[in-house]
Amino acid sequence: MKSASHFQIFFLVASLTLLAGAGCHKPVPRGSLILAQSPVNAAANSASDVLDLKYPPGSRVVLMETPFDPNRVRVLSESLASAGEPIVSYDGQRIFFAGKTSAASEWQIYQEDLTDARLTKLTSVPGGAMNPALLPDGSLVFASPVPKLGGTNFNQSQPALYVQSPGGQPRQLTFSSRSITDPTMLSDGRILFVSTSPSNSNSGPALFTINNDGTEVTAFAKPEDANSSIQQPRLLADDRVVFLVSKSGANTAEVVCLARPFQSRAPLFPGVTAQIGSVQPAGDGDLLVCAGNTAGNKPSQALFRVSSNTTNLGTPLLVDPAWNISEAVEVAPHLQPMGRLSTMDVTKTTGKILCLDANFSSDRTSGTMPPASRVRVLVETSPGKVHALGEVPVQADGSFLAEVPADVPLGFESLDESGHVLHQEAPMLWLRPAENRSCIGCHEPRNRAPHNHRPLAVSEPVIQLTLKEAGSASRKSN
Amino acid sequence: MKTMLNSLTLATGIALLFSLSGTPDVRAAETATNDLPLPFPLIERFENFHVQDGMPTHKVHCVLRASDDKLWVGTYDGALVREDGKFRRIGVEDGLSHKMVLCMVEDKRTGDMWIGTMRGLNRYSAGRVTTYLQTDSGLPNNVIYGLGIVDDTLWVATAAGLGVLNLKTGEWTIYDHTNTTMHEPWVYSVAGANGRVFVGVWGSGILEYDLTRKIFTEYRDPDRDFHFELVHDAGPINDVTSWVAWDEGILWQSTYFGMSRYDGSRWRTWEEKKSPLVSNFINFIWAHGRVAWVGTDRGVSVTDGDTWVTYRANENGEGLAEITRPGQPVETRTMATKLPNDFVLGIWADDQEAWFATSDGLGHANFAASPKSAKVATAK
Amino acid sequence: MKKRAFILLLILVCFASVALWLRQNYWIDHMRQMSGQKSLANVSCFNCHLVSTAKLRWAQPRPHHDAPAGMAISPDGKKIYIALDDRDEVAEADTTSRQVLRRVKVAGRPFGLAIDAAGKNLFVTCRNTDRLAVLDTQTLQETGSIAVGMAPVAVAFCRTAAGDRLVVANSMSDDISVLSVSPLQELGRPSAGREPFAVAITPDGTRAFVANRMVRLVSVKTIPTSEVTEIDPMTARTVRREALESAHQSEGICAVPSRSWMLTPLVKVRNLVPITQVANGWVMSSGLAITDVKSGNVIQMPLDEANNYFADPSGVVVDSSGHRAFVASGGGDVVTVVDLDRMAAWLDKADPTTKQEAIYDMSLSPAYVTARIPTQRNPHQLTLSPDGGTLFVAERLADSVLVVDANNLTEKGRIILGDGGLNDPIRRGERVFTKAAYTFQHQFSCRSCHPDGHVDGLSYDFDTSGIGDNLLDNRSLLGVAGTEPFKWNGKNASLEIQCGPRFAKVLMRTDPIPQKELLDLTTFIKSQPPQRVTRNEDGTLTPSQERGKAIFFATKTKNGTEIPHEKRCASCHRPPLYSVRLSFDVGTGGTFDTPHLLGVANTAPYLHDGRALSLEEIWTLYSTNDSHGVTSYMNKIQLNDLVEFLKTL
Repeated sequence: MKSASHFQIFFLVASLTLLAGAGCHKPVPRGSLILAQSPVNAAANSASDVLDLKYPPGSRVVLMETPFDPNRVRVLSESLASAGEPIVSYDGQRIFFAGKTSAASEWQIYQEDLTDARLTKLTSVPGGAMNPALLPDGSLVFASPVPKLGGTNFNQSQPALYVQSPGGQPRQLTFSSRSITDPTMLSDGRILFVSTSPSNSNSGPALFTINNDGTEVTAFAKPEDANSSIQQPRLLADDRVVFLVSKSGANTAEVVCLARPFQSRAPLFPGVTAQIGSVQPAGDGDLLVCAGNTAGNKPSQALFRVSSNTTNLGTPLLVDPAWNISEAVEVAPHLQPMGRLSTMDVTKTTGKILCLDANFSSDRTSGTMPPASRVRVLVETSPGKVHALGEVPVQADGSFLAEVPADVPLGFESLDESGHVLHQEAPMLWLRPAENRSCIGCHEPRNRAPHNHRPLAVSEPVIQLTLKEAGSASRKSN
Repeated sequence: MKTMLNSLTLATGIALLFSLSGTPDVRAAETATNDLPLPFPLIERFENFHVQDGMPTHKVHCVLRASDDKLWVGTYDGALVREDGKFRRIGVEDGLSHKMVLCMVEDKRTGDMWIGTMRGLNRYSAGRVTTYLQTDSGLPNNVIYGLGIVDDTLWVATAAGLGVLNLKTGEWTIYDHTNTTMHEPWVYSVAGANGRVFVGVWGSGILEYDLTRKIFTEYRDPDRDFHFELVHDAGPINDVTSWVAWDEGILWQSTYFGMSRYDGSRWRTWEEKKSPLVSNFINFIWAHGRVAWVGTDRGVSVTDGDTWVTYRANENGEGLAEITRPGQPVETRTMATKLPNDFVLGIWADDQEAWFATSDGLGHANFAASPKSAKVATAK
Repeated sequence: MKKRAFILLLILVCFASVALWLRQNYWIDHMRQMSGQKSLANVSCFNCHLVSTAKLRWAQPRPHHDAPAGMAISPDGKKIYIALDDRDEVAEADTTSRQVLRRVKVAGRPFGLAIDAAGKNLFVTCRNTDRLAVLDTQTLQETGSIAVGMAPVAVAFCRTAAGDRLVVANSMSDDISVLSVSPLQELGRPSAGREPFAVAITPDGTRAFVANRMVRLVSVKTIPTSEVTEIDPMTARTVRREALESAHQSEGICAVPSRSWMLTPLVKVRNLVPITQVANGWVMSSGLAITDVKSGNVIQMPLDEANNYFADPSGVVVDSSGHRAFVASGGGDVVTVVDLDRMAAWLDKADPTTKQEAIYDMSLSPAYVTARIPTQRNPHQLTLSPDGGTLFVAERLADSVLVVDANNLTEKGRIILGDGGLNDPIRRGERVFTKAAYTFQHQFSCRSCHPDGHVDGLSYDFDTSGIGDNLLDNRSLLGVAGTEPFKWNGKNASLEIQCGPRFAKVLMRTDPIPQKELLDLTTFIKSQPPQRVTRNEDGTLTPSQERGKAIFFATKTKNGTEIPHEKRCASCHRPPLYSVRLSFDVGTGGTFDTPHLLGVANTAPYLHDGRALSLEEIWTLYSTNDSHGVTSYMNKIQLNDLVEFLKTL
């Protein structure tokens, strides 16, 4: 009787599944690819923003099923003038990409459901949206606005990250005067992104992480090349993060290990000289690499499938004489990152920051500086405009605690007794509403755990610094 | 209670007065040249340690040599361990509950040292100090005068009762004036014996606890007089017990009014005027074999009950050894060295050496070679 | 039964009617008076009445499983003996065929195993009956038994100049039994640290090292340390104690023959730092303590990676050449392989400061961790064949022993002891309880703070109400069934809330544990009985405990003065749970949930922030003006009696 019941349930479920599938596209074969293609002879001189450069008019996102045949593709961006940056949902059923309806329109994020071939425009953000990524709960993360060509860092707003739950409005996740782009998910649920300093800055681009609500902004890895750009970080199956580096006209791929990201930077393909356009993980641990086609002049970009430890790209998996393949991702269910319950409280407008030891720093000659007696908190109200928010005392153990405005870039200066600046941290950190944030010290060594001691500052009244009273501090009982 | 305190103060004062008024006749200087062996070793030379020798303070309260041969010293300012010819101090900064160390006892099975202080009990075990206070444990009181270990139990003499800690279960049991025959809860000293524990109680003589039957037996001064010894050799000399010591079947009691000895059937008592005992004011008594080392306010007496030797300084500050054999006149020898101070608070002695805790330094006694000295008398 | 209930109901109705007739607000007044609560919103009759422990989950029969605990291999390497503590059995298996040959009953939860040099005698610690049993390996029959300290969990055999010795870690009496083998007798019982859990002998047999799982009791804001206790097995005397700063949960220890090292896996804990984040090991991380056997110096080395953690390090074993160490990660389901040569090379180059700071560098372990061997659920104890060629991993919650080729780190197969027990929700729940994969970067599991469901003796600073002085004492999960609400502020109505979204938000920093697993988890927790306590086997109390019981239930002081109802011990700590499950202000700075007292003796420290290091301190230091019950009338003997009674609950 019991087994009969199980069988009946199974039969019912199977029937419903079959019925549900009727009238839809047939399932996509495992191993099929989503490609971003650009016409070989596309005109590049009409580009007005950075995505136009990468995806000139006519660029498209296509589905290529196995067995691969360049002449047998399903165009997913059929109604769009240009499209690119495809990603695949965790269940392998939906494709998200950036696209624009005409040369003059703005880039927005679109979704194509592979089962019903329905294209949906997900964003309508002024300035455009790019770099789609997906949270495990289905929310879309993207960067906006799309930087225009010819602008400077100070006359246009820098892109930031936004999150948009299905059917919801975009909410800003990052708050920095730097350009923040290229979000991607780490398996632990954090969003990894690229932070690029203004062009006049000496510091190069770096990889940072935030939680899914924008809290806990943390440096992840810092390539330290001032005159380079990095793009498209992706987590690989072997616990490395690959990213593309452009420097002096050369486009290469580099990796860092999750185990020690600050000390493990290395070329992904040592010895490969081809221009690398994209590296994406494939389901079996292989890599899908879009790289310069060394076999001939056209197309300039072909697709290679290589193992993760290869030193040679070998023979292209796919060459299409009419199309440059700029990106390729595999259509397959893949591991969903962990989720995270937010500790943010949107009804609040401040957060608290606790520093365990303001005198602790990795880039300071120990013992040569006097101990800090105060810390000046800085706020960057608009790009390049930095004001002092106020000062907080440093306790005998170097700790300080301050309540600061949320969602603004914050910097810090440690001061000696006579007010001389001992150490500076430019505004690059923000707190989300009601976020409690801690750091070990100034420019603390990365991936370092704190000593187990009770910071004196937690027993003192918290110092409240407000934007309205920039330059003054008020005490509040904790 | 108040009356008793006054009585004791008076008794102490009288004792001090007697001791300062002159030397009893029995100890008059004589120059005997008797080379007969003594029933215990004779001290040949003292080696003394003061602040300039690495002691943290001049006040030394207790001393013992542990079973690993390390010397432990309890001082006004922490405990000291003598290692490689140097003193290593263990103080409050090392976790000791109070700097003033009053007593110590070693758990010979584990090497743990139990340290009684003016504020709390401490267990020093291979560098780790664990404290026991009256507020955080079953310890009856923080002022700890004496300690003893019997099997798996630690006996703690405190200013408010006797605490017994079961070292296996952690259970504390308290004996005081509410559940024993103690008149007051001031317990000064404990001494373990075979199946018994002797407890010296200020004002209540000696209590003997039978570990098998779990009952107390009381030994009291038969004349119950604090000032005078009216009944001799019939029980403890006085109820104001300052210390008790036990070895090889012999129990010794010291008081501020003389001393007693009990061999299980017969009591003997001694007072300074009526015996070679150097002073009635006895701080401490140490038993080794059948010999007692008696620490007083005016020097040290050593005796097996019949033969006596006293070490003290004379009026000129010279060290003296006064030897009294049964039926013989006192033989007085002048010594090149002397005790660091005649106010002796603690003693540790075996067949090879003796150590003295005094109010002004630590003394180490080297024994003379035979034939002038002999092995300690034993019952064997 | 129904008749009795009906009669009871009838009586109650009659009583209620009469009372209502007498006074309209009788029941409200009664509840107010008896509960001591101004608001009756959270008060019902069942806070005081009709409470029974008999129906609680932990009092019900439960399935037993074939979980491997300690292991020992015969000197010829042919046989492996496996303690199955939940079955009261010891199994013998063939190391080559991996087949179980025999299983014998050994009463009292056999846990730790050791075998003598000749392979003739197998020594078994019986955790629940406080004894060490001796089994003849030929017959597997018990040939001897001796009482040791409370809850012995590990034993090591060694040869000394004075004869063969056994060193036993007694986890609940915090001491070490040193036994001579022939005759089988206890030579001494030196004190250990807190919760001694593993024993290792130096290759020359002159020293035994004991790892302790809990930190020493210190005041809440003091940096905690656990201990590695070093004893002389010949004399049973303590030689040295090495303190492991901010480290605990050590369940294994192993000597490195060629380097004069002793290795102890540990959890590096940061309980004094406000938990504003968990990334970068902010709350805890895994490490390996290297104790220099000669000097006693200790260096702690990290085992985790910057963005990936391997929680709950447990067993450790080192190959005979001393080149590699294997460390089980009970929460991460891996065995970490440490290249000791590489570790030594790093140490040789590092200056003293760098060495002391090593444990804080979460990027360091790739310098010497060469592999992570995946296992089934909850790897715990490890052992190596005498030739060092085969590694055996007790997969405790999979009822199996993984057999690994130690040379090429490939799996040889498994010794199957049971079916894994996945049909049992309690077993499934324990798998959730011990699994770190639910937490951010797999940093820790429930067990990381609640070893065996109990406590780690620490207070943690949660930042839920802002950064500040919010240290809260960790509470035992043993015997919590029926004691809801939970959390010190009593705001979590059920374990499902406590262990679900609250735990996810405050600690896990992930999504909550999925509902199905959460129900298994709470079933497991509810099935955990209170901590075992010392009391007479026949249930009778000692005179001191009897006197303490009378004090606990006293309604009048010694001089006959009535103790107000709300100031009596038993009013708030009402049997049988010894809690009415309501919150009260006992003068410690707020209103806090009343903890149950079952097994209270072994849960120090006490009060909501762990300020009381002992039961005595609750009243001697922290109950001014009789704020925590009327106790000021007691003398020291009576307080000791009360404490002795509490130890029996």
